[in-house]
Amino acid sequence: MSIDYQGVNHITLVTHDMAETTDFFQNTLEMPLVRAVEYEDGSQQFYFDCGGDRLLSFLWWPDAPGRAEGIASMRSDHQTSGFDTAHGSMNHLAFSIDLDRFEAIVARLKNKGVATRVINHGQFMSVYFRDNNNIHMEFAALTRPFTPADVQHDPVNEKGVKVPRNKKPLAAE
Amino acid sequence: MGQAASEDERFQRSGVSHVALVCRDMAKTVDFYTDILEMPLLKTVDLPGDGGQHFFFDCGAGDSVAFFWFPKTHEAAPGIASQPLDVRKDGFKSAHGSMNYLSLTIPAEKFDQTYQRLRAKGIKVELVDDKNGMSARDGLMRSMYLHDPDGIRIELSSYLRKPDAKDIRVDPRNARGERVKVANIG
Repeated sequence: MSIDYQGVNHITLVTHDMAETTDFFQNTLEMPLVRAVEYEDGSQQFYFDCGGDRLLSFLWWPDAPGRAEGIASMRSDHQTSGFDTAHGSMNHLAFSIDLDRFEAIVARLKNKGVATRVINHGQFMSVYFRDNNNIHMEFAALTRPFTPADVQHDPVNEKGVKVPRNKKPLAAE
Repeated sequence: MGQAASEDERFQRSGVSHVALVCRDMAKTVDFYTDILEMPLLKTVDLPGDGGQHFFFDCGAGDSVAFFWFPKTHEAAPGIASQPLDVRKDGFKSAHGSMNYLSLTIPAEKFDQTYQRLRAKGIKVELVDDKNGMSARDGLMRSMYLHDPDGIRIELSSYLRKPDAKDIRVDPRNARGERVKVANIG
């Protein structure tokens, strides 16, 4: 046996305002609210359906630490200041779309007043935008499947030195 | 607004492509995600201009957990950029705009053997049930939690039932903590 993963269950992010988040994801991005939880301490966790049984969830606390750009999320001016975020952070989140819907989805985001940036990465066509917490998000369309040829680089250690990985093939079997 | 859009016009909801996280040591991350968590590598990228690396791991059903390695970035910030490492002592909070944890689906019928399998690899895995303060107590899913090498909280979950109308009876709170009705025009 190996572990039988069936994809993402939910990604849990932190919002400063659950009402605003509910409006953005339910109404702007058209992801239905499917689970709304309030814990004993008054904190909340809301789950939105981003398709294929995958959920995007948000936590809200009355006293969570404020936004920490460049640490906990990508800077607003990342194109000039760099897009790095801290070790252990989420940098961005990409939802799947089909390639033949790409242009229509970019147009729909624009029509809804969401600022967009399109980048052709070759294997991915990507349109980037920010949510109401300024979290960097993406709709990504795969232009071709992954193949063993996509796995060619040895990983670096913390110093940036490549570590050969000879003990087993890197590629998916 | 509020008029119904045709299905052709609406956003497509096709799930998650990738969740891009940040690691301190890509070699350790590759070892952990491929050997311990058993996710095959799908794609490796050396970013141009010595910008670092971007690796993708297969977490099933077409989804990827991706990692960046940057030559220079902020060190780990538990409690800000990720959950505190000791949630029992320090709670679960992280900053507005951060990811708090990532949950992956495993089949309910393989939940127990997956737990045993991970435990046998010597990593700390915590079962969460309805006695835990962070449980929704609604019987929707079973979960286990572990940490990756960067302190990222990973959950493995199995659905026990489908969400239904009784799961959305709570109104969301605004920034001041007041419960607000939000119109559903989506």
